[in-house]
Amino acid sequence: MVTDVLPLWAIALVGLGVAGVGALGGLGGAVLLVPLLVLLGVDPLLAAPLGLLTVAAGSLSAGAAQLRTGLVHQRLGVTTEVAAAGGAVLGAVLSPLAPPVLLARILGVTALVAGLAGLARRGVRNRPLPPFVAEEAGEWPGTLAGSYRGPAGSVPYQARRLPAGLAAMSGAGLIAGLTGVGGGFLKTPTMTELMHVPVKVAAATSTFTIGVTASAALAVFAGQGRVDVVAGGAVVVGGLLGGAAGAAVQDRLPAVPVRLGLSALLLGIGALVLVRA
Amino acid sequence: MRGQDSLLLRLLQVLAGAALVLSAAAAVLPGTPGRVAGAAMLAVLVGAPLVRVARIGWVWARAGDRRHALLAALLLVIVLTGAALAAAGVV
Repeated sequence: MVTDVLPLWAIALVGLGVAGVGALGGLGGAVLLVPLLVLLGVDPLLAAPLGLLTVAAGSLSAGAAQLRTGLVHQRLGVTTEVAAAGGAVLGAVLSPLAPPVLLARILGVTALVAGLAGLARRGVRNRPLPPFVAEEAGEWPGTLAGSYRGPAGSVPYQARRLPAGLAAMSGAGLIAGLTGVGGGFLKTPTMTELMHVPVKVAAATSTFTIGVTASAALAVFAGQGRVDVVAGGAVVVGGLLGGAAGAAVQDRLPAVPVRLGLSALLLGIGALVLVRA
Repeated sequence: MRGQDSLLLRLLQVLAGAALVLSAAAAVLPGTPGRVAGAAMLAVLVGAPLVRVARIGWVWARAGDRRHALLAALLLVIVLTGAALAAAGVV
């Protein structure tokens, strides 16, 4: 039991902090939570479901607010989730058999690479188009394209490199199922750097999709009897409150600093995970 | 707003509220009531994204966007198959 190692109030406090930070950049927060819990003495196999519970809670609490902004591209989310959920189910099945040190090294290197890719890009890829100023923001039916409302007007975009994006998403799902992190720290850079989706759309869409990935892996964890629901209650209380606060602020933040901040966070996480391994 | 779905918005708000109440109950209530609330919370958190995918898939199917409706159905099949295999003790 997780509560044999940590008091419930401490679990709730950790959940609150990581979900608040995570929702700002399309991260579920579990990429911070799971290593923290393990450092505090929780068995990685029990920490993983707690990580995905807070991911699911943060995603759900942010869902309505982010849907209203028109930033979530649900067709892109569902399309990429077919690959990610498959990976998550496979990862959850394999997780009790995988060597933890190898998993940590894979996780750390992946986070470092994603962070460096985000830092390397300069400027704004999708420019505002004045003729579209009066257009409403949102996804365009039947396509993986859409527009979002920027400071100078409506900004159209089109998701590209779908096969490569699907491959990356299946990897993100696999890591989520193996380790209990949400995979948002891989999904958001995949959408922005590989698929050329604007960072604000990618972050909002990732917040939606990490909930589906978490659901897929948690369903398997529950069947394996690995979910401590009492500790889960504490971490979810914190996760819901933190996720709502982060989502309320996310839409007001400028895209480039969000991207740079997300990249710096990824670099820090990658280094921490590698040091731990 | 384009693509706005008031039913889905309301549903997400209700499910988020239910998850908050159930998680608080799981953390506060001792013994069996706490574990029951926790199990219900787990069901809500696992089920909410699936309800959302089912709803948007249904909306897309009615709007004639069959390709994405089929992808939504495929996504549900993947998740539910994993859950069923784990529940049966196969994986």
